[in-house]
Amino acid sequence: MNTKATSRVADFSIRSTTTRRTSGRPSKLALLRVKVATIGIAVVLFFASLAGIAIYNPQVGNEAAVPVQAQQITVVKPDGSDSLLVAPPPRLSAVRPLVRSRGS
Amino acid sequence: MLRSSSFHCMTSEIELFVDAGDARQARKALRSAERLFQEVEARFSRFRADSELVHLNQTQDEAVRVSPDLAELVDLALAAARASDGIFDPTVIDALEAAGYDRSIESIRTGGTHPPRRIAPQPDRWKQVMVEPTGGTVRLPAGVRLDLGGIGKGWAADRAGAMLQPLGAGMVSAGGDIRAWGDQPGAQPGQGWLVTLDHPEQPGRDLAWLRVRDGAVATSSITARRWPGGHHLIDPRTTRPANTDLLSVTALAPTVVQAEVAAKVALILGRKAGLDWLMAQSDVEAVVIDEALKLFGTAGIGKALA
Repeated sequence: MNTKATSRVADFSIRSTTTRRTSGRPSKLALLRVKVATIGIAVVLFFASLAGIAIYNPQVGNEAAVPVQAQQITVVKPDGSDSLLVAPPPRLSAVRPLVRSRGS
Repeated sequence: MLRSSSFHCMTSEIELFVDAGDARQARKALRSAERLFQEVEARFSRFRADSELVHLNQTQDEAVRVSPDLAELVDLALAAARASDGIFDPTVIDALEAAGYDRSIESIRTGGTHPPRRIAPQPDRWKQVMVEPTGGTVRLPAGVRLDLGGIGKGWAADRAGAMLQPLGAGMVSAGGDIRAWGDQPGAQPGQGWLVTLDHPEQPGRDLAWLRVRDGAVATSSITARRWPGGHHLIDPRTTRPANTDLLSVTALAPTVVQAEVAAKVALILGRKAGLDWLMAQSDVEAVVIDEALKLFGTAGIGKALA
């Protein structure tokens, strides 16, 4: 999340530097734009962090869009009886599946 | 470092992963594995007029010399038929075509197919197929043709896994039929690889995660290769697309071929008979999902859940 957010801010400051070089001195309007954009990004990041959503990481965004729930599996035993097993819900972790098993 | 390759083959997305230190060796092995899939498709597709399988299917009641690979595949298919009492039947190609699957699934998806036709059940025709794996000969009775589609893809995944395994831990996914060995990078030793159990009706939605440790997982589903009026899983008892109460079966087994066969047989048999059959198989665990999206598992499935 932070990586992309930082790069956006960095891009913006490069542009403003370029403005300085071409005009010799930043205009008041350019400075105002920088201030408004910086405050805007900070506000968005603040609320995003409150909501626990990583808005700049598409992968995490997708995870948040998929309902995550534990699955109940009825496990059948050799004697014919059964019991209920709760499969842990898919979760965010350092090691994630790279492939999906599906009918094809 | 984990190196990967992906490509389209056998109407499926194939993904290869290997955790190898030597980049040059890894690239070479990944390219060889990709060529293997392309060769298996070219040699054993029933849709390619010049394939070895099509040439075999044109013979009638004569012992034909075939390549060792084709002999092995036919032998595996007949072994699966014996183990499932004919529910896995490689000779239902007439029924597949009558159901509408007489062209590749990609052609059906873009151009459709004909309405289903009915053909009379022809039980146990697979018993008349003779294979001599050591001599490399196959004899097909007159009018009998073989379809090695699913088992061929699984066999290719197993072979590709064997090619990549000397380089380090890795995984092969052939359209969701998966062979894995060693541990996924970042995982604790002995934890194997994580594989997502996909929702049968909402592809891309996770149902659960499975751990595959030096083995295979394969899913059979009636929701994947289907068209108006049919799907690709033929019940040889009726010669029609299986009228099953299951949406999908995901089986874990030592090899992809075994997992693929187990999943297909259980799906055709339906929930009760399918679970009974799965429980009688050694080295097989499975999750079956019924029409109500209720999940059932074999006795040891808990060990495979991540």
